[in-house]
Amino acid sequence: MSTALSIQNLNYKRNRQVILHDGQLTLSTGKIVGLLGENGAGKTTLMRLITGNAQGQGVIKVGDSSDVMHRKQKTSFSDHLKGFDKSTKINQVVKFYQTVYPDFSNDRYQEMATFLQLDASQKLTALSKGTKEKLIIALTLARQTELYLLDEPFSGIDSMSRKQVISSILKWTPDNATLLISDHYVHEIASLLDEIVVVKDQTIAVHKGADEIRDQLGVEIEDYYESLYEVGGAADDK
Amino acid sequence: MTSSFSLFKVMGQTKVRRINWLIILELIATVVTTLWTAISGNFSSVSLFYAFCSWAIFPYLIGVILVAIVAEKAYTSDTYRLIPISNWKFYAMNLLSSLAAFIYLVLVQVVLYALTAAIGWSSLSDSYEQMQLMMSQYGMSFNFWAAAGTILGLSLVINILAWSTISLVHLVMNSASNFLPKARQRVVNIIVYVIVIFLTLRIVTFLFGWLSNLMYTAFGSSNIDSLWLGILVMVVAIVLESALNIVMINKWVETNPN
Amino acid sequence: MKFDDKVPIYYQIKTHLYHEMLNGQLTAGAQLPPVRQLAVDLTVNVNTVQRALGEMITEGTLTSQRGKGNFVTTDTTRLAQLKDQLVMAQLAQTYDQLHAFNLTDAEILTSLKQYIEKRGIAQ
Repeated sequence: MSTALSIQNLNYKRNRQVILHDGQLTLSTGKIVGLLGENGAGKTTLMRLITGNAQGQGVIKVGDSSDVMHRKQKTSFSDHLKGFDKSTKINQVVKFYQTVYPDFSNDRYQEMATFLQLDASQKLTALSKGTKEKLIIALTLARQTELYLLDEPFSGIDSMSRKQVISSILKWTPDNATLLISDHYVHEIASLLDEIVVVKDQTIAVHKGADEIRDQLGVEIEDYYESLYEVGGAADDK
Repeated sequence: MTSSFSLFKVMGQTKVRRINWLIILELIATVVTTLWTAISGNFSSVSLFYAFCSWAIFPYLIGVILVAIVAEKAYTSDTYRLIPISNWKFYAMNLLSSLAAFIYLVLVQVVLYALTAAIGWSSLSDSYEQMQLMMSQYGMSFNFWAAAGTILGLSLVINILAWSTISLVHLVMNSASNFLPKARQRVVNIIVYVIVIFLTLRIVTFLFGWLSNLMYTAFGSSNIDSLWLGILVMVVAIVLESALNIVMINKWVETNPN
Repeated sequence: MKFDDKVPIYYQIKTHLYHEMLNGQLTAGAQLPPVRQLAVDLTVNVNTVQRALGEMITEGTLTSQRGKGNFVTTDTTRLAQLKDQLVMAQLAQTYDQLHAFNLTDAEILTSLKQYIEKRGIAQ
């Protein structure tokens, strides 16, 4: 199986504070991977480092390219659309994506938009949290890339929307693409995941197969995840 | 890879949208002023032209700033910085699309001048003839189109210089803030602000002084060369600033997290 | 479908499909939905469905036809065997639990008979 993402000796500081140190991670193609960790642990930062929008030290490769421009091309990150005016309509956002991403498939987008009941004439400012997440998922998955980074796609949305978002992820993730989904609740996505990665103590602390946890340790992923945070737990404290 | 033109298009659209708002505001102001003239009883066919002229300076000034704000936001916005294109092309398209938006503003203004002037032409034609007479008396028979072209060219170069300077300031502050401890950041920011404002004022005074000088020499003695020399100096400044900007974007400038 | 997160998901998918095969929702020779459709229906990822189906193909309860999809085997002896296995597994579980209540084999049999008779009347 080939490698979708490899990270070696990743270090990242900001304002003279260490955010991530000695990060090592290799993800193989075609996996759905949960990126877990507490709020502020550095999950979003890790994703931004992968896209090159945060600049750290170390080697990050998407597929076989470490060059930032190629990484951006091979990665579809769930942008929260802050670069658009609030009065921008959904169809204008779609037009933007179509213009700047050669790998954006309008057909795929339209299928998802129908499934998720997105109204193209709505303005960004009028969207509920759930609808906005649906739009972001549709835009992100409408690009056809090797790696998808979904940053907290379920935070603050109702359970109906969550189900629809999960279904679209399963339906529209291309074969052989790798998906990294960050979330601080593992429970709602546990059944989707092949593997979990935990960011803790400013580093990539854990990378394990989901069935490895269930098979070998005989525990729920959620329990395993929580056990990492218990005093004297599995992870090494400095 | 995203083509430069695609990026130019999306960047330009956002800026043109801002310019359109500005023009709408300008038109409203013009109409209101004209109505006021009408109410106070001094209305004539030329009122619209005068009203337009009295407001016409603001769109240029505000336009440059609005476009600069949009341009600067792009450097720290995931929405733009996720686009797969090299940083120097990103920078170049950002500047070029700013320029295009500004040219668009100038063109719309010219059309509006022409329109309002045409409405009031019956009264304006007299003063136009007087002006021509005056000019010929003082021996100022210059080629109108050449002068207009030079002024336009000059103002565009000045704009680009202004924008690349604004970028320089913004990107220096952004890069510096990565390395400074959070606590001291405010103090440093204030110091940087002061230095930057001081420098900007110096540059602006220099430019204005130098420009008036140029105008004087250009129209007074038909020495057009010094004008081009000035433009050349500014172009060199633009190239230097841009090189610095691109280095900073490559190495340090990050987007604002979601 | 709700999963017990302690048990590997692929294993639970297998169990789910076995049940459908035995209760008649999936008859011998019936075609299964495409893998992706199954994944969406069960809200699990495609790899997990593939793993479950892969194991079922290896053990002979499913057959895979290139380009057509996956089918329940037409081998009725294999299906009967599967049914036996599942019945046995279920019985073993129930038996162990009752045994844990200190019931003798004879008592277990009597209780089971009584239970069946009662259910018969109730229905």
